Amino acid sequence: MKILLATKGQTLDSAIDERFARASYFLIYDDKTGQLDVINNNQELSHGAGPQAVQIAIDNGASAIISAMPGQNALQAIRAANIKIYEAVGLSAKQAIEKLKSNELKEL
Amino acid sequence: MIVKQLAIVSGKGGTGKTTLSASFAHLAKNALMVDCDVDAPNLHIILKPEVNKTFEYFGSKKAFIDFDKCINCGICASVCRFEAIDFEQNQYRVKEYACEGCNACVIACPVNAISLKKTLNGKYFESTCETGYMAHALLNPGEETSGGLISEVRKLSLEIAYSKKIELIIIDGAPGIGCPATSSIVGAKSVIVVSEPTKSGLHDLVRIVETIKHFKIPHGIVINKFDINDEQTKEIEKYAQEENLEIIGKIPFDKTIVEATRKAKPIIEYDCKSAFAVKDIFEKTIQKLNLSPQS
Amino acid sequence: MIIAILSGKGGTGKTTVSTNLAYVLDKKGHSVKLIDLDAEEPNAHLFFDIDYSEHIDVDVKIPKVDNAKCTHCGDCAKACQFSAIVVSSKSVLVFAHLCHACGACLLACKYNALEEIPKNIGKISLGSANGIDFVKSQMNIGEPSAVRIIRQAKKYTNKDKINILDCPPGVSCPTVESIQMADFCVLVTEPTPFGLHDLKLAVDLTRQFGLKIGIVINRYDNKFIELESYLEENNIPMLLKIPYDIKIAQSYSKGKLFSKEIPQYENMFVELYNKILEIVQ
Repeated sequence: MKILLATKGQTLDSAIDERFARASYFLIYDDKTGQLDVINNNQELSHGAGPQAVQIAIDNGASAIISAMPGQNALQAIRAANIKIYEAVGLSAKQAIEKLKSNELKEL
Repeated sequence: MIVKQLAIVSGKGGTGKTTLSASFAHLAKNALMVDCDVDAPNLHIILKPEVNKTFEYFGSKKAFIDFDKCINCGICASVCRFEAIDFEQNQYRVKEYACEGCNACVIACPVNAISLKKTLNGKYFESTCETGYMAHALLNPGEETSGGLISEVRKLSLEIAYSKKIELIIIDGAPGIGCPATSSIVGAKSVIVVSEPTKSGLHDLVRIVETIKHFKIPHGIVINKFDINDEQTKEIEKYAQEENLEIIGKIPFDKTIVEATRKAKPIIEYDCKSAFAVKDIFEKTIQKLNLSPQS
Repeated sequence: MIIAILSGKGGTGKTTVSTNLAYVLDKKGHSVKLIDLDAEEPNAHLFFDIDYSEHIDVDVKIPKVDNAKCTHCGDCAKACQFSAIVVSSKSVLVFAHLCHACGACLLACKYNALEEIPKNIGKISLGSANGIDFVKSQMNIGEPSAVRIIRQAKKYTNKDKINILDCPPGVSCPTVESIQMADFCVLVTEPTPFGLHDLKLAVDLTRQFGLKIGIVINRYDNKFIELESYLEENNIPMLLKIPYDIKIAQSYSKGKLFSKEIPQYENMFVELYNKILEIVQ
């Protein structure tokens, strides 16, 4: 399964960003292979950052998102694409992945 | 650390939003001030910031026609829904001010003569002033994407707040109810709506409150110059009661404000009835945000 | 003739000047048309008893997916510059309030899987304001841009009349759209550092389009000389100073026209018009 993590930094030690769509980075983590891709999320879009971020998740094959609470547009797109969304502000990406595996993360 | 953002808005300009924001800057001590009125920023006139860093904003794209490739078939003009392409001086040309950078002409052009290019729309600044840090911007005249520029300014303000450990961000919002106003309030913890007791004031107030409600952000009302029209003030109070909105405070009509504005000084530096009202509004707001008193 | 009334920001008295000028010129026997182009916050109607004769919906066309034809290739989402379409293997989602109704997605779709449906973004109301031809533009809340409504409303200008356009505040796109075709721009300002700062922005904008301009100072109190020196240095004609008078503020707050309430102020708007005529000719 691939997971998109909206983070402040480029490694699994970085914290989950307080914003979803305008997070600094998106980490795409494959929990089978352990492969990590880093996307620099330097969006300058005036509007539509939420849907754009969800499109990035879809295009990268993510079936789960770990982030802050997304906005209304993003949430709607996440639901339509049948992606699972978990809120994990305050944790690092690594901690969030572990908690996801042990079913401790709250699904939104 | 949690950064709390307070937005001060009004349904239209000229209601005293900046007067209130500038005083809040002085009362809050060490709050980060953000001017989201990027079309006609005014907060810097009172706070007199010194710019530390300047950033360029390339928010919008516009279509450019490569005249060497163009065969003047006119398909671009026919697909453009913004009347942004005209045939002038023997050549189809893009009217930059009307182009929304939508990409339709790029897709439609049979000879790939059109491309979208990013254009410089404005600048934004990280500054320091006597009350602390400030983030502000200036859109180039005639540009449209102020919502995007506001997002950039607010992103910058969050970066400053986290790196300098500033707990409170005060946003002087963009006027109106459109995209710039929306971009000013999204993500805020609390919103203050400044209104005036004029016939149009209530009308404008209702429209901005509808917008804020959409985002489910707690908000309250400040009535500026409440004593110039008792009847309209009562109308606003009635509306607030119906909507279950708090009237955080009422600022009296005060000639001292005219004087302070002309001298570009915050009203709280004067000993007058309006300054007293502003201080009271500030105290109530801070209590509600649950901030430690010195922040 | 088309006279655009604008200001660098809201609250300086743009609507006050527009409505009073329209009222006085009509009273003096001119044929006047007042057009409120401030589609985000139209206010001019509050100063008259308007007898509306017609409301015209302003619609745009937004995409709708034909699920039978869609292959979920994602070309529409890539074409859209406003992130108004999100495509997954399971769905195609259109965000109507982000859509600029440009039609790029239809041009990009190879499978003819998109059609267009109308979406209302606002309306234009025609009527009579105590005998004055009146046009009001109004945008629905949350729409991305008022430009299209303004463009529609502008089509109601009548070349045989004096058209007074109450323009949107600020110096961004809606204002630019409003002042195209204007024969003259009246910039309304107030004698404060704020007013001067915003006025300069508005002057820059009008000069960019080579338009003829003149200034009205509202709430004039003879104490902020920087404004007048700026006008002199830049050779910008001063058309009218509306005095700082609590009676004017009170009449505005009641939704009344001060040139009607306080007859001594009537003539200043005749003079304003004469000065505009002089410059235009």
